[in-house]
Amino acid sequence: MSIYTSNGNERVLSQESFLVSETDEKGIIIFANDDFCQAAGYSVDELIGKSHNIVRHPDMPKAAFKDLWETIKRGETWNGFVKNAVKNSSEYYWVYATVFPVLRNGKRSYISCRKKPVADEIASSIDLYKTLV
Amino acid sequence: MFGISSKDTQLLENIINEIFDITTGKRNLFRYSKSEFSTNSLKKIKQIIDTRIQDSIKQNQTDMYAVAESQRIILRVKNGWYSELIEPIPASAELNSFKITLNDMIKVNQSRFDDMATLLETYAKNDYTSCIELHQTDEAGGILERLIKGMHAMQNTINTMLCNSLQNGIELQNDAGNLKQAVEALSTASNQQAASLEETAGAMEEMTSNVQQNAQKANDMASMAAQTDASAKEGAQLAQRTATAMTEIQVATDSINNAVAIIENIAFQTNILSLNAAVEAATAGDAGKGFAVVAQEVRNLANRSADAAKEIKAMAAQAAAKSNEGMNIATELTRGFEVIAGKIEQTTMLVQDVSNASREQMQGIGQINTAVTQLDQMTQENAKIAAEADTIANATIEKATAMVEDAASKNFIGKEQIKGKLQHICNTNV
Ligand SMILES: Cc1cc2nc3c(=O)[nH]c(=O)nc-3n(C[C@H](O)[C@H](O)[C@H](O)COP(=O)(O)O)c2cc1C
Repeated sequence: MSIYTSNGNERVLSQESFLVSETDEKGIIIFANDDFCQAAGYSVDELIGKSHNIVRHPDMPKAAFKDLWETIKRGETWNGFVKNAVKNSSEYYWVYATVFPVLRNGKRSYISCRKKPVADEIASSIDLYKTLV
Repeated sequence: MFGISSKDTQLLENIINEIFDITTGKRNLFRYSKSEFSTNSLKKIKQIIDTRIQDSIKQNQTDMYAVAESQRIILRVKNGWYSELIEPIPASAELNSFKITLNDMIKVNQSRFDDMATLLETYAKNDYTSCIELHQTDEAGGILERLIKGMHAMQNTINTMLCNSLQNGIELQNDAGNLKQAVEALSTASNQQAASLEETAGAMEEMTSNVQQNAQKANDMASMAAQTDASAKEGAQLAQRTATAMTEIQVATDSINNAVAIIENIAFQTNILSLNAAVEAATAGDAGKGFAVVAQEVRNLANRSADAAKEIKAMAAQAAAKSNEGMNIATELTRGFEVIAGKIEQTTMLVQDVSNASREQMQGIGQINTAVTQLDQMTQENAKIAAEADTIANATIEKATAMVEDAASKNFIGKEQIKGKLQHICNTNV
């Protein structure tokens, strides 16, 4: 069963979707769940070992990720709305991401959990990101 | 409503909806943190709402994190790694209970798999005496039951196989030993056979030269017989000619006798005539005196002629007698030669028989020689096969020993019984 419905170029996530990925200290993907793979259009093998910017959309301002990294490096949880690109296409999908810093057996990593954002949340994010670089 | 402005009522309505949307996961952000009620009593409520909504969002995050971690751990379980448990403690009691259940499942399954792995490691170390057992709670018809039953079946199969292998190995060792003995006996027999065949071949050679000598002698005899036959024939001819000569002598003797008779007659008449002449001479007196002397001389000559004739007659008779004798001898000779010719014919026939017999013997010897050669080849072949069979028997013994040693080096159910039983029967060192 698909976790999204298409609306033009946008993949609108279903209410039940729960996208998870994990990166190492440097943002290299070390885990991705099925929902994440489906939404982004990759197989898990294609994602493991790649930088997480593999799903980056050009509409996303640098400042957002700067904030993300600064927050999680401080050991705090970051959340925000992110527009992501689908593999090899002009398709995209919006998520509300919560990124947790993790310390497991002395090793730093980051887990990101994503839920479906509602339309007005996306709209205000678009407005906000237009003001950022 | 309770003296609250319609603006505040609207805001309250929005906030209540927002709270439920967020707590049920339909929304993510609380949009009214900065909104304020104008009604004083509501301002305090707003503070509570703000704090509680943030708590609620935190709890949501805690649960999310726990679920995300669970997914990661379950993936590792799926990939066969059972050594990591779900650590984060979710805020929701149900999720926490679920997490504990999941962790319990992971631990139990890990322990069950661990038992199996340990057992298989024991098997890998060639100890097949133990197995894993079903737990009381294992459900009938479940995968675990199938797995454990399967392990038992495998253990049984391996034990049976090893029992058979050991038993077969010991029996094979024995059989191969027997085979080796038989092969050695065959080898010895072949060698002996080869030796006697060599002797036979020697004897045959001797026999061949004997028979060849016989044949040669028979040939010699045949040519001698032929020569003898020719000589005998010549002899017979000579005897024939002798007989003819004798007959001629007799005829000549008869002619002599006739001539002698004429001479005797002439001598007699001459004597009578000389007597008459003497009488006449006497009558004539002295004139006849000389004549009387001549007549006397004539009478003397006549008498001497008669005497000579008598002598010739006697000699002729003697010659006739001798020629008669010669005749007889020639006849006897002829008969003798005939007997000889008969004997020679018999001899020739005998020699022919000997010759034929020699030829047949030679043929027989040839056949025997062929047979001996074939026997020799076969014996050599036998010896070769015996040598090969010996190599095979040795290899078999080696393999059987390896098989027994291999089986005996393993631990399995029934091993001691077989060892005991077979050691008793075969006295084999296992
Ligand atoms: C756990 C985690 C999850 C991330 N998820 C995303 C994401 O979904 N989309 C995205 O564009 N960047 C994501 N990033 C940020 C990327 O690492 C990267 O900083 C961003 O794509 C910008 O790319 P750049 O650094 O090459 O300019 C994530 C980072 C972390 C640590």
